[in-house]
Amino acid sequence: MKALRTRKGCLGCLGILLLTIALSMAGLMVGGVVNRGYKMPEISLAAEEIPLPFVLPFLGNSVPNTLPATWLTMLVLIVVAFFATRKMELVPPGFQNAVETIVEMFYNFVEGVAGEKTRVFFPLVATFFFFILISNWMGILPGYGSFGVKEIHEGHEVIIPFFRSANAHLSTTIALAIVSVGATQYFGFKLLGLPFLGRYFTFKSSPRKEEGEVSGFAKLVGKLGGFMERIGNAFAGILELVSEFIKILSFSFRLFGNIFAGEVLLIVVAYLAAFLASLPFMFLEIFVGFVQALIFSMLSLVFFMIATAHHGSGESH
Amino acid sequence: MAKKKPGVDMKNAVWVLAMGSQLGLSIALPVILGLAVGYWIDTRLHTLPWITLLLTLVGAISGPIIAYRWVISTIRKRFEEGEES
Repeated sequence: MKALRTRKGCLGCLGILLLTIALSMAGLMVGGVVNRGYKMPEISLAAEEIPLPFVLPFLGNSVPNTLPATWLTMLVLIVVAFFATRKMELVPPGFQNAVETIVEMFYNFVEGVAGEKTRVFFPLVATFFFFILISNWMGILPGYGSFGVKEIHEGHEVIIPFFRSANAHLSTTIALAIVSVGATQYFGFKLLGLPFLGRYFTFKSSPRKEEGEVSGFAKLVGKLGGFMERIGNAFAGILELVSEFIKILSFSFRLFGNIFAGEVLLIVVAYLAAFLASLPFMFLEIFVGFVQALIFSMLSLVFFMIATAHHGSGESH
Repeated sequence: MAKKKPGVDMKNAVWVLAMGSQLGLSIALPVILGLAVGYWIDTRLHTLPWITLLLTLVGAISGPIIAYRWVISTIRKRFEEGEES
């Protein structure tokens, strides 16, 4: 950001921007002329199934092509974690230092929201963040979506790619969302105990004031009001229960929608113009992937915080 | 805290972004959920338009209520935090 303050830096940044745009436009023109005869690839909403030469138990003879991508993401995370912590030193050298810096940055971010509960929530939230971030960013590597086997499908030949960005499959994101919502219930029970169930099943009315002597009619009205309030609270509890399911849907659809839309955008731009035109969109995808990872972990954290808050009178008006 | 002008706090920015997207979806999704569940029940019972209509209406009513309750509880939590620090 400091470079933008000076005149020279400002001009330089503007120059780079203009150059990128100019190169993209050139790419659009050249691509339009050169690959006129190209046909669009198949874009399928569901993840494509890779045919296997053997039969797996429970899975049949095909696996969705997001599965290898998920494993690759896990492999990257595990290898990085292994090599960063293999020789732990108090004054960390190179690689360990870099990893520690990133983790510490995210730790401070979480600590700013969660306060003293950071130590309970951090492992899960950081896992969400790094898994989603790495799989989103790996989704725009070359080889994803372009490298695969050919297969005859409905009369014409299509390529079944071996890899597809892991979050561009609704099953992956629903699994993540279920883990997040399930963890909300777990943390609620862990930190609040059985009163946590009061969130969903409440039949209590708010404590009424002692007013000594009240006449018959006022007492009746008071009782009726209390009864109505109990019904209202029970209804609110049911709404709370329904909103947990809405949470699963919204968590998974948001992530899936953003990442899948990015994949489709990149494919369309790449087939519209072969060279360089997809560069700005790649930057967009990097940004979107980062923001989605942050939003997913932040929302999980906010819901953990709400679920574990001590609210005796949380639902009062 | 801030010297010249208050910079954008990363935490607050992400918080607002997350709140906004969750808020929009939590109004929209109950309608779709009601529609889907209603249609499923209707095709089972052969009573096609009625349960679908009813559950869609219930979803449309409960969506804003869920969003309202969620926003109120989240903001209350946030203000409690602010008072502590």
